[in-house]
Amino acid sequence: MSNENVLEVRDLVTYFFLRRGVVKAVDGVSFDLKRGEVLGLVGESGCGKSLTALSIMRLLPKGSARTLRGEVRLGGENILTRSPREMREIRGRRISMILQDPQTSLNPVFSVGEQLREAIFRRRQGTKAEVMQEAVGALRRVEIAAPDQRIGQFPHQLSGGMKQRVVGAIAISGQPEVLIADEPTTALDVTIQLQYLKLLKRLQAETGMAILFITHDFGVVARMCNRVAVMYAGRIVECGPVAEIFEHPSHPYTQALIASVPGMSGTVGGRLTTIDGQPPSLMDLPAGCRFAARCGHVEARCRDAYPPTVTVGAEHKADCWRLGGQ
Amino acid sequence: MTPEQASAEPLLRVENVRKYYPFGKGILLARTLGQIKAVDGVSFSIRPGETLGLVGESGCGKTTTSRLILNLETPTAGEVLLEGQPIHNLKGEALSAFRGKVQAVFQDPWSSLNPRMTVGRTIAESLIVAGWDRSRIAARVEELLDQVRLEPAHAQLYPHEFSGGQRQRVALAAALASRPRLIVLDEPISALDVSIRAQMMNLLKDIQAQDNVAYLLVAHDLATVRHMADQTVVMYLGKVVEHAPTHLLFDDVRHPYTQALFSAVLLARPDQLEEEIVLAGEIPSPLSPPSGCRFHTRCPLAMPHCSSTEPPLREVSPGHRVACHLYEIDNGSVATAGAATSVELKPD
Repeated sequence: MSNENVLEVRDLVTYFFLRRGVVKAVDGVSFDLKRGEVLGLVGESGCGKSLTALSIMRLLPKGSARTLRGEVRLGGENILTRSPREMREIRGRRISMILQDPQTSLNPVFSVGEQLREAIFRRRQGTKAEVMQEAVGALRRVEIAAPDQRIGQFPHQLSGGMKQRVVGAIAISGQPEVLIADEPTTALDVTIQLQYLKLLKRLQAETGMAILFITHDFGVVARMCNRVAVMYAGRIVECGPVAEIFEHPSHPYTQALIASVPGMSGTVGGRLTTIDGQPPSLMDLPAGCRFAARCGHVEARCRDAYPPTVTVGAEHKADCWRLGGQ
Repeated sequence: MTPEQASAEPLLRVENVRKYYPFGKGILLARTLGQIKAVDGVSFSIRPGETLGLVGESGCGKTTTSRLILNLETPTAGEVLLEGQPIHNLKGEALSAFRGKVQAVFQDPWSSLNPRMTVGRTIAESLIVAGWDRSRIAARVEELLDQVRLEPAHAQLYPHEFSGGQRQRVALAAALASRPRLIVLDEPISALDVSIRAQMMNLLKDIQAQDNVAYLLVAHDLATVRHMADQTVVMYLGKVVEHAPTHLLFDDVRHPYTQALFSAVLLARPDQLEEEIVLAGEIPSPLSPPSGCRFHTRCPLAMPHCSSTEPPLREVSPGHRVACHLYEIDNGSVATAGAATSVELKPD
């Protein structure tokens, strides 16, 4: 464990066990999150990015999903072996999470103040007035105008952007070391999205927390992240500093993904680069590289065995045979 | 856009349409308290084979505008004309003929297809209604599947057997069945995965080139509009704030709201970060839109009279129309955005 990593995930494996078969949603994911950095986790829907986050938080859907292997080391200790009771103490204080839809993360029958107070109370005891004052302060920190009035209001009286701010205030009220943000701005309008991203950046600078930022949008990555990990069909296929990934993507999937997004400059019209086909079924994964069926550079060995992780630059790694694997 | 298109008679004309929804209190003894002005005086036209992009944030009236064009809503005032014919008083056969000419593809391919109908039947639906005979329908369905790059065998399958991208292509095939002149595309790619979006955009362009069908593209993603549309209309709280050919608009953004919208587009290039304009506050409620210019509460360049006088949509350069007091003609010259902050405005 190096001192600069606040979170280390090693070979995390989470499957869904269904009657129809086993869905290998997270299949050997490893990454480090450094203190005070923003790491983007990018991928398409169904690639396992949200399930990776839920596995780290140990909030898997009850019943079918199970984490089989791996380690999640928070500050050096593996939290996967902690009891559910200990885990409850860790969640909110050391690691917390913001979900995509603020509508469903807040309880509609409790006021904003009551929901904030609950989060604050779990951390420290105090008189009602003290806690209330801290709750107002928490709303002010997330730049909610007129917090004294807002504190008594219910979620339906707030706009989507404001609700997501309240969720953010609750998530950081325990001063966590790690914040997992799972597509926090996808449900917001573009001008509101920019406001929210700036707010997250500011809060991060103030508190020094590390953020694992899950998104499918490369624009958000460019604006928010220091490093980015690209996920495909249950595995991280490429990971590196943001500028490196944008300028020299090494994995064919990352290359195609970046090329297929229409830009705001350059010639208008023309054809976009496409990625043909679809991701493989997670119930029936190929033996070799998971992108082989859609890859333009596919070779025989790609179909036979999963490629090695190759270091292609400083802190920049990719899983591809063409990069000089043996 | 080719020169013939430029000179062609517009296919669709939207003339100063308004749609107000009354809102009230109570069920028994209901009182009307006011009106939500969802669309408040919108005009534009679309030529055959052309794409018009309609951009704006939630609540700006872009969906209501598209529903007015689809004849799913009746306007409070104003008119929509297709090929010179007003569409909102059509009845009987004329209405059926209109439905064949104007079709729609919606955002969510999971809810827009009937899960109990085979894909072939869904595509054939409008042909059955139009009274085609069976053998011709089968041939046409096969042709349509081929046009959207699906296999003839797919006609036998049900929607749940398809991926999101394939379903959206089925919805497109169903829309194309009656050989429409105009397709309303309401966020056609935003529910699709990033790697599938490019396929869909290319397909839409190919079909337009083949069939000369016009598109009304309702979208919030500016990069998509830039890629697809010939002209772009930007809406804010029920009003058009800027309207220009896409290449003009994207080279020279005039309205402060459009500028903020452009700045909020997160470019997928870390090195292209420009000076960003972060708008203060939220979109005001359409229940009580601000007086004067509806954007003045969030506008970084607002001037005193913006809150009292509403700026009309006027042409600031050939083909480029903007509704903003910054571009009022001052001593015969048009103020530019950069200089606008220092321009002295004559009192109204």
